[in-house]
Amino acid sequence: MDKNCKLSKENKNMPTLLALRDITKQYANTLAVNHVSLEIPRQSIFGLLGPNGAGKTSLIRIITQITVADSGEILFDGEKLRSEHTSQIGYMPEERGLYKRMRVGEQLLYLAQLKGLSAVAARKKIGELFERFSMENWWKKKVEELSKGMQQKVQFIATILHEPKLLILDEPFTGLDPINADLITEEIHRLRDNGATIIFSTHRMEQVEELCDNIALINHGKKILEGKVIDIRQQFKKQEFSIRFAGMWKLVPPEWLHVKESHSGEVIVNVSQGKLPNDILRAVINDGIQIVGFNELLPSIHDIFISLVKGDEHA
Amino acid sequence: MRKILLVIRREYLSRVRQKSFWITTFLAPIGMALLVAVPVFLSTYSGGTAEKVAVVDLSGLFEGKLVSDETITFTFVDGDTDRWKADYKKEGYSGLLLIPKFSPESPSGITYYSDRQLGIIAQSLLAQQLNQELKNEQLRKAGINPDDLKKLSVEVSLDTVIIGSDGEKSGDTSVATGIGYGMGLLMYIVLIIYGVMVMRGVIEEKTTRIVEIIVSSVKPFQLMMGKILGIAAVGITQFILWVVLGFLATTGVGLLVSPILMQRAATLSPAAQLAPGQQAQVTNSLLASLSAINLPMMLGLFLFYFVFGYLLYASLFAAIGSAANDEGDVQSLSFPVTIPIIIAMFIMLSTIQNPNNPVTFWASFIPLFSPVVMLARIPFGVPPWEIGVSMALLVGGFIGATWMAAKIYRTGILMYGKKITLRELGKWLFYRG
Repeated sequence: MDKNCKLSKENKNMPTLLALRDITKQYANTLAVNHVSLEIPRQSIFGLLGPNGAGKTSLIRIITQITVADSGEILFDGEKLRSEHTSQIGYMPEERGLYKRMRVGEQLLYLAQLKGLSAVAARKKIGELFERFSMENWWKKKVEELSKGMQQKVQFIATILHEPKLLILDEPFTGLDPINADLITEEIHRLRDNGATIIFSTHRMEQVEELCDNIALINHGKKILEGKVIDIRQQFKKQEFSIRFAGMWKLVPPEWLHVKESHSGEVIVNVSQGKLPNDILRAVINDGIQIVGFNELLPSIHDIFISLVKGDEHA
Repeated sequence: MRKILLVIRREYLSRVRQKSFWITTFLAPIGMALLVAVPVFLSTYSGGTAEKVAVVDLSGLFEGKLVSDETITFTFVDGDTDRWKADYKKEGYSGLLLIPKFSPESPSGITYYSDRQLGIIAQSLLAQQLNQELKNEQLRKAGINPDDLKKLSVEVSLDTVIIGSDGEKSGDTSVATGIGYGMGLLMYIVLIIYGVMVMRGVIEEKTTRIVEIIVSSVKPFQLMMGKILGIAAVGITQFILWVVLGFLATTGVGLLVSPILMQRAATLSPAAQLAPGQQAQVTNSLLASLSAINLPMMLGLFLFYFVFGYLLYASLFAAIGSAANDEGDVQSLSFPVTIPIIIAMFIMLSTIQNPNNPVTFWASFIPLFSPVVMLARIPFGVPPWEIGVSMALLVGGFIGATWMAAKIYRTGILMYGKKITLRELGKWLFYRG
């Protein structure tokens, strides 16, 4: 007991908010989650990626305690995950849902109270958020009267009302127009800067690169990749460079350099391991080519995702 | 606990605030009252005009004996039968009653001619008068004064006495039957109406997908129980309102209808009229058998069977709802739950005819049947140990059903798209979390 107490105090300042250790979940004949371990850094935006049916939702349902893992351990804020933690977690499922015939205000009040807020505190918070999202006169509207995008906004507010430490957003941008999508993006950043940790599940890779600090890639219930976005891109780089030039391309390529694509004024080259940008530049300059621009090409998360998932299928 | 209360509150308020709740609550007793009142009114209302009947009495027995009233008037006419048959209408009559010559021992051939049917009341009044007159005639022939006979006739009523541990109580089978039937039927209706309401609520949450958000805050079991208890509160509210409204409505209608009924009773069966003393006796014995039934205990038992019977069935309905993907699935999934209620209803119907049959005896211990069957049995007198065992088993059944339902429910509410079979439901019982 004493030891636990001490441990949790130390852990409060640890960089990890949520740690999953060797989580497994079996449904009938499918192994939905297969020995997955994850470390989700505090105050970061964490992308949980994977094709449909990879086990993302199963994993999220285990974190939100909707279901229980068959084996493994989850630490939330340094403590073993318990039911009281649900009030510190906000979850927006991919399939959105609200009571259609309830009024927006009452609905939010109810959901906030289920998360442990008092009625007074919830009202105050709803007021604040209505103002920020310019929804001041929405309290009395019925959900069924709202458009899909408007319902989405209500849903997002319901998720963040209780100021959760951990926010889990499953495809938060589907169905949103660009203006509202920006509004939500801004809010996600603001929440992160105020101390929240966000798990962000999606297939949309451009959003991942734009938003996420860290990602994990799940396929067939297994984690196949985890790390910082920038590190992963470095890790998967293919030694490719773009060289933009003026005049004629008259390089006699050394055996370690291979021209992959060439356009007017730009070539993409591929070099052997161990060769540095300086080596390439030296060779190109020595052959009298006028360089206008030079940069390393890192694979996009999209490309990495596709190649890994496909590789996984073939394996 | 706080979360369950929040769920109960929402389930309750969201229903009670709906217009449809108030509409059904108010219309149901009005409907019931109309159901009682309309036939009475329709049967008494003869359209303002009495049937004018021309009577050709060839037997000569009835002249001056048939009594006219506001529904039917008799005019005795002489003349040719065939002419009257053809011309009764021209003469302003609505029908012709032809009484041929006959021997009083075997009256036959009395015929009513008209271009339309005689109303059922007018017809029975007519037949009764003719019968009575013929009977009186026979009596006179036998040398008996009909008035003397009336004085001699006695009403026999069989008193039943239930010998219980606390002494003898007089009972009345028809009162017990009425109460037993009423309580059994009420239980049956309550189980179906509110059970289905729970099921619909579960399906709504599942199809609108709100359920996943809710269960990330509360445990599925809390949500399920909150819904069941919230709807129970709706049921109780509705029930109380119905009792109040029903009382008001029947009193109102009763005030309107009872004079007519009294009058009817008086004209319909002059022979069956009771002397004031007899009437009081009937009232007394009715009160006596009512008091023999021990109203407070009965009410207590009704509440007990209502609460646990509802909880048992509502949790099963919740489980069914959780497995359905839409209202269409309900048909195939709900029969294992609705069939027992219907069976219970049939057992109950045989119970009130013979409260001591063995099927009834065993069914009043089976939790799926006992709420309906036992309630129907109680007015006839049931040994305390049987009630005790039945109640204990019902509580056990409720715990078992809720445990089972909770397991199915927490899996079902998150399972989409798959067509669920009953076998599949069975498997869910053994799933972990």
